[in-house]
Amino acid sequence: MLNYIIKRAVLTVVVLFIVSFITFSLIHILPGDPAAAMLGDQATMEEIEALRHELWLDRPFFVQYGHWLSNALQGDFGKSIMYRVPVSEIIAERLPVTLYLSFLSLILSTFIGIGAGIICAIRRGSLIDQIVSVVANAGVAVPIFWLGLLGIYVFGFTLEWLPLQGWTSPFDDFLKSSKQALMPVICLSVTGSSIITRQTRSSLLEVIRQDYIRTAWAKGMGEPRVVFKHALKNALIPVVTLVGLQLRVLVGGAVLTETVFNIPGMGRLLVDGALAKDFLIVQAGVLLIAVMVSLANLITDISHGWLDPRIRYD
Amino acid sequence: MKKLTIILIFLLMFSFVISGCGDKSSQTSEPAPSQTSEPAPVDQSPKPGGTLKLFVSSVSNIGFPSTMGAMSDGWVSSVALETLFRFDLQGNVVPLLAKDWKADYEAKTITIMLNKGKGIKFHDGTDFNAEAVKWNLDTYRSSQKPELKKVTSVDVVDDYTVRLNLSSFDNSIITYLTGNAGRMISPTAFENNGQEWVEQNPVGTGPFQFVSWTKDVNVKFKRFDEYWGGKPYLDGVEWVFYKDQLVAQMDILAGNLDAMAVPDPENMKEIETTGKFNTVFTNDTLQPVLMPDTKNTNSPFAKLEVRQALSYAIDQETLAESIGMGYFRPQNQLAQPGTWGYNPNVAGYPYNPEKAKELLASAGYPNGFDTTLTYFAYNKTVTDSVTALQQMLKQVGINAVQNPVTRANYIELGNKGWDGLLRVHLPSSPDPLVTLANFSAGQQYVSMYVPDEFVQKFDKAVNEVTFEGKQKAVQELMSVVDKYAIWSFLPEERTITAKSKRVQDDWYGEMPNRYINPMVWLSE
Repeated sequence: MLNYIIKRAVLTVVVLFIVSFITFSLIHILPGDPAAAMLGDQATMEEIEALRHELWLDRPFFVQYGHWLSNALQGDFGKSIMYRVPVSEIIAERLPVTLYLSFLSLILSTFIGIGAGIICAIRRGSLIDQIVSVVANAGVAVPIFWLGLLGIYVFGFTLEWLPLQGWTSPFDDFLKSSKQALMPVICLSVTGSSIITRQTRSSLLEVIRQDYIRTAWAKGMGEPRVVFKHALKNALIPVVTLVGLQLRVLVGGAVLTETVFNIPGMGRLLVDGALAKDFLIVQAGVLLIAVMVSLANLITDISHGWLDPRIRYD
Repeated sequence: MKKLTIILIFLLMFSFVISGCGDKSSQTSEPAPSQTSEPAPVDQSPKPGGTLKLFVSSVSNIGFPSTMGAMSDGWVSSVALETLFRFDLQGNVVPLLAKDWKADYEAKTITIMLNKGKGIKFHDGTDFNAEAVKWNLDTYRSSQKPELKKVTSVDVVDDYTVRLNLSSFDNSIITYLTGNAGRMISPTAFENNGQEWVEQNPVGTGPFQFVSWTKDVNVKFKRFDEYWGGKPYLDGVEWVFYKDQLVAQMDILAGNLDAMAVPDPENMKEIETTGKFNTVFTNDTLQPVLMPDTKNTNSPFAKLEVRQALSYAIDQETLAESIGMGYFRPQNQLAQPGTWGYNPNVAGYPYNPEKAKELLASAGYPNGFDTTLTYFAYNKTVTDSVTALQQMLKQVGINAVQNPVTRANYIELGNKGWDGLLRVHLPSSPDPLVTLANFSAGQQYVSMYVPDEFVQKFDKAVNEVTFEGKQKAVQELMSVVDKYAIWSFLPEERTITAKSKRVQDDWYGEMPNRYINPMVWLSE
């Protein structure tokens, strides 16, 4: 297992290098000058040229990339063009917000998804199975930003149950923070819980047709014991993979949710960074997400081994 | 007698009952107010307390004028960082931190006298005086910003007087001092903490003192009790960041926000129907124009007739009514009606597609031509407007292909050049010379040809010492833009601000540069 983890760590480094190069290339291909964008409509060419020099934008592409990479390896991601403070400082402010919302929605979507999937599988063909299946299909299809705006209109504006938008740290005011986080977390969870529901249902249906489950029934075991002790553990292997993959979906969702609900997280930072051509923000943000996704994939792989001892990585 | 006493007592009791049932008005000789559905009139005496909440989309630097980029940087900082001069509601320059100014054309100097009797202090307790002004102006001059380029040095005449020595006379300098060039910060705060800190922590002389800036959440200011203009009524001002206009709109309707600029006229109509908001306009609005690549000798727009045809092809009235929903106004010059620079004799190019076709034919384009229409697609109103415009141009034979670009690309094109037409939104000032300065110097919009006559008239206008002379010269300049059809005007996109009726005496959204009256107050 240790060898496997080391191999994966080395591969992750290679992946991160490739990701950083592709991101750097893409952001430089986009039309528009970051220095001009930063200085505004009234800036003179002298001002723009001076800033371009300061940001190393007047150097050849590979020199710029090398400069960025050598600084990044020393933990210096540069100074944001948009915010004029070190990128690492901004990310340190924004990352906990996105992680907090993503973590809550991951838990929520996993619990709802697995719970609903089990109910649908053991009550296959029933009214509740049909209703949940329809809702789950709709949940996969519904755009998050639309759901967010609808939620704001219904629960915030019309019913006045929840705040329309905004962000408060749970350490500052837990109640206010919870109220503000409720709608974004639900919106972020909808797609994930729908996918997990469908996967759990189909996976569990496949497992409960197996001989060893039939044997368990024949031995006179109760339904909870058959489902939870014997069927679910095997049925969960693809579900765990899916939960691991949800991290990517959550990052994508965060971009929309944070924009709609006015939350200062990583998603909104990346959108603003891309629009303002703040390549230092985008570069560091994408790299960080790549690290997180790589780690999530590693944890997912390791948990497969725990769920099914037959799986070996050496 | 007993009967009379009983009657008198009865009458007295009756009068008590009547007076007790009546309202205050019935106790006076004034007529009783009529019963209407209008809200009760607001008590007009200012009330202390409350926080004014305002919408903003983004800022990057709210404390160091020399590196401020977006206009919103200046707006947000203005409650803390005051300027030497400001505009009034009519667009005239009036003193703020300054008391008066005097220009000497022969000596090429402008002397500024400061408000000395007020004991003005920065929020860090240091004095605002001539040394502080010199430091601020010198710091701004040392940046790459163009506004004070003609200022060669700044002398401290005495504690409350500074003299600006100029390379050539320019009466626009006082106008520039209403903006970031004249925004005063504490030199001590800068020297103690450095530029990076100051960019994030404004320390000025304004009525409100900086509290916090949570990036993309809010910027908070609290009342500065030692404010030289008197103690402000409000407890504070909070600028709230919104990425999504629709969410901001719902927040203002829900009463969580006091004022916001509404770029989409359709949304403004919805807000207006609630009856809870005042709609105000400012006279430093965005003035969209179509700027042709006239410097390119191969361009059809290099010919005057083609530029005139372009202007005749645009139905400004229809655009203003349909896209602007009545909030936008057709325009034929940079100066707006009612302002001192407006020239009533400029005829412009009223919509006339037949004439446009004739002009195109006489210029050698009887079948029209293909071109590109590049624009910064910053909101739905712009994209709708460009689509309508495309159809209007097509009717006279100009087939314009839409080319939407990002802000960064738009600015780059302006500085490095473009092909065809570029939809430019000119950040208009009540002083048109400020807007026109960059064209005259050829610093911006480099693909556009600037006629010699324009440059001569511009130089004449900035050299005028008297207001009357400047006014006449600016009005002549408006005629030159019209004569050469340097660009084609589109309806003026007035900045519409929706403002809660509880906000009193604020001037927000009416005054240029989003200046807020220090004595703003909230009625509830």
